[in-house]
Amino acid sequence: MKALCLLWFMKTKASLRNLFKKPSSAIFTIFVVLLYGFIFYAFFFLPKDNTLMLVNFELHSSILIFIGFLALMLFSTMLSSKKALFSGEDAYFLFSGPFHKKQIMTFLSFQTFLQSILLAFFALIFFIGMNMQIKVDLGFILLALLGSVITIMTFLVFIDYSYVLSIGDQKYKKMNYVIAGIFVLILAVILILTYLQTGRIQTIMIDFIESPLFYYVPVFGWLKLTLISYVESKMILTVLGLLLLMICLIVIYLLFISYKGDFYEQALEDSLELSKRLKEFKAGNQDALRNVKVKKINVKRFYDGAFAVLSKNLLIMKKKGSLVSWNDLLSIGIYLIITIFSNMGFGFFIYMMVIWLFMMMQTSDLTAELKNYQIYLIPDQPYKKLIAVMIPTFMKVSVIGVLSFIIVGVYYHESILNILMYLLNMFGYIFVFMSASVLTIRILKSRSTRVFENMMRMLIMLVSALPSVLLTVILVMTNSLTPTTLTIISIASLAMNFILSFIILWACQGMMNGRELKSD
Amino acid sequence: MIEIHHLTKRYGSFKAVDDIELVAQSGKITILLGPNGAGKSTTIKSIANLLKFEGNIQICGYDNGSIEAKRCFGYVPETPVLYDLLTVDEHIDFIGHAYQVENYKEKAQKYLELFHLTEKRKKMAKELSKGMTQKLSMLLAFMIEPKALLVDEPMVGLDPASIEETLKILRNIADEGCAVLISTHIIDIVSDIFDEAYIMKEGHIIQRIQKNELQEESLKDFFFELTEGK
Repeated sequence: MKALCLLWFMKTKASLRNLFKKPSSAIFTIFVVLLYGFIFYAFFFLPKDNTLMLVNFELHSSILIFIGFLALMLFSTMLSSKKALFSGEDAYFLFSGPFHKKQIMTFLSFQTFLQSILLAFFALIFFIGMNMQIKVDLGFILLALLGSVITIMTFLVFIDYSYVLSIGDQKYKKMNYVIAGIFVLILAVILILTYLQTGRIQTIMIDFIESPLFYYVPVFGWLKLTLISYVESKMILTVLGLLLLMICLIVIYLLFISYKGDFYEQALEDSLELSKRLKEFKAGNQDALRNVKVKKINVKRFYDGAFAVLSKNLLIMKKKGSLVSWNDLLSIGIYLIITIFSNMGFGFFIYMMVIWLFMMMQTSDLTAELKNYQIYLIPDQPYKKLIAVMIPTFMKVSVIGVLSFIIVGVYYHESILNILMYLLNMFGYIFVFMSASVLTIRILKSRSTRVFENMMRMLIMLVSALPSVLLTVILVMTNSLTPTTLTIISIASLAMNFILSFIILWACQGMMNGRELKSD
Repeated sequence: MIEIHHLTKRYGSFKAVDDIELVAQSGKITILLGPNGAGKSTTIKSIANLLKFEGNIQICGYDNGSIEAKRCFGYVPETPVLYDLLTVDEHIDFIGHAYQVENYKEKAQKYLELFHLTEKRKKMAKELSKGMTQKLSMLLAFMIEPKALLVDEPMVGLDPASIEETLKILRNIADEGCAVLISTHIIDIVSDIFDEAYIMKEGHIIQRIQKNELQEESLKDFFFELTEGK
């Protein structure tokens, strides 16, 4: 066991060393740590309106969003078709080295525990960042941390357990889907019961959020029970929630470590395969972690020169069925249902759509495309190549965005002019997000990462907003803030989005020649 | 023709390539030899315009970053970079249109047969073996009928019969007037077909030699004498 502890220590040390190896990476790491520190500081020490912890709709919905975030992380891991117990390197040394099964299982549990703490911290930062105005004490935050560590660990151990079971017997492969299905069913039953209790369909989401029926949802309901009971000072129920979570974790953990089957061979193979795919994913291959069903598509025609890249990309998107995918339609369907049933209005839907756009840009294949040398060798103008590479992503988000805006706009009886204005705003955001990706790749070259890309997007959005902020300040100072001037401010901001994006894209076109893009 | 004049590439204060001069003549096979870390890959990437460098590189008389140079330049990288979901035929369509090659299907057909890829033309790149992907990568570079061809470690992943076929194809391409520049560290494989060799060590070209200047000595022995057995 000493050797495995040493292995973990050296790996952690190496990861930290790697973070501080390059000045850019070191600055970024320190920035993130300071940012996290500031978020915690701001949450606890900046002045707030009320001084007492209160159980109200705001708290209920915040906790439910926090739980939803955890559930999304855990179920996407659970339902992923690519699973492994260890990284490829760990699996190779653990399974081929002089280690007992008990030692391997202990090492795995230790890793799962650390992973749970990290994920719980991540979720907590999300919770705090989203709910700066909520008044809760340190005890609540520590309880949320403890509860989410247990919740995450329960799921991660269960995922490992179902994985080793499926190695021994193929029939267990469906178990994760069955479990996810049971959760969906329980939620559906609770929604129906909530409706039967209140008789209101329009506010069903609001009633659901506050309903005590949610406490009957295994694990997630118990976590909510723990947190709400703590704020209500009902300590017996708080302890009950925690106890239920602990018992669930202990039962699953005991089942897992008492598993007698032989899983080494397949586990090693899967670990190596997953590590390989993770490396491909980090290199920009968005499909590396999923099994893509390839459709048989006949090529109708290829454009010439740089636009052959466009034909090629459209062909690949058609083959993957990713031009308009079921996942995208499902996401927008969910936004639509939430907007309508929580009575949030058109503005809320637009806000959700901007988030969707943000997410969509992260899954664009732009980065991977720019890593293929063939793009640079094509004998054509660089700006044409850049346009050809960007068009498919633009088409995809525009088609879905336009359709959804029209549907929701019509539902809320918005005027055509209003819908058009919102659409124009959406195109502004699309251009900002796309140009930010291009600029990040141009500046950071092959060192570009998603985190940097997202930071760049936010920065460009801030810069785009500067003229309208300046205009607002001047108008406020001169007492000339009217509905008409507010419209001018909004148009100025939109125009800046377009202008900045075009300047960025024009300035970055040279990177399609290759030599500006490889990091030295 | 590929001409390199005063090529220097710095990584911080370290010079990976230091003021090198190299000419790959049309109609000849020129090889670039050197031990690990000699600067071969840096030179190759600079020629392909994938790195910033100091100096001047011309392909067919044009600056290597220009569209004219790209039009007459074929590149086979050490590791094939292909699109997993595209079939062999679709890769051919893509490159044929991107380079606007006339009658590209006929030109590709010739290499499909030479590389025994005809039966695989409906297969996706991800379904091909390592050797097949290497052959497809070569086919895509050859079908544009380049005037200058850059090949980086061409024989990695190929079986002995395919190596022989590839060497013959490279010889034919050179005989048709193309300047072929091959970077490799497997001397035995190229010792029969090369016309001229440049030997690199620690970022410098330490020797340039024509095949007929070697006389009785083998290229391998000559190389080891210069690089002190490295």
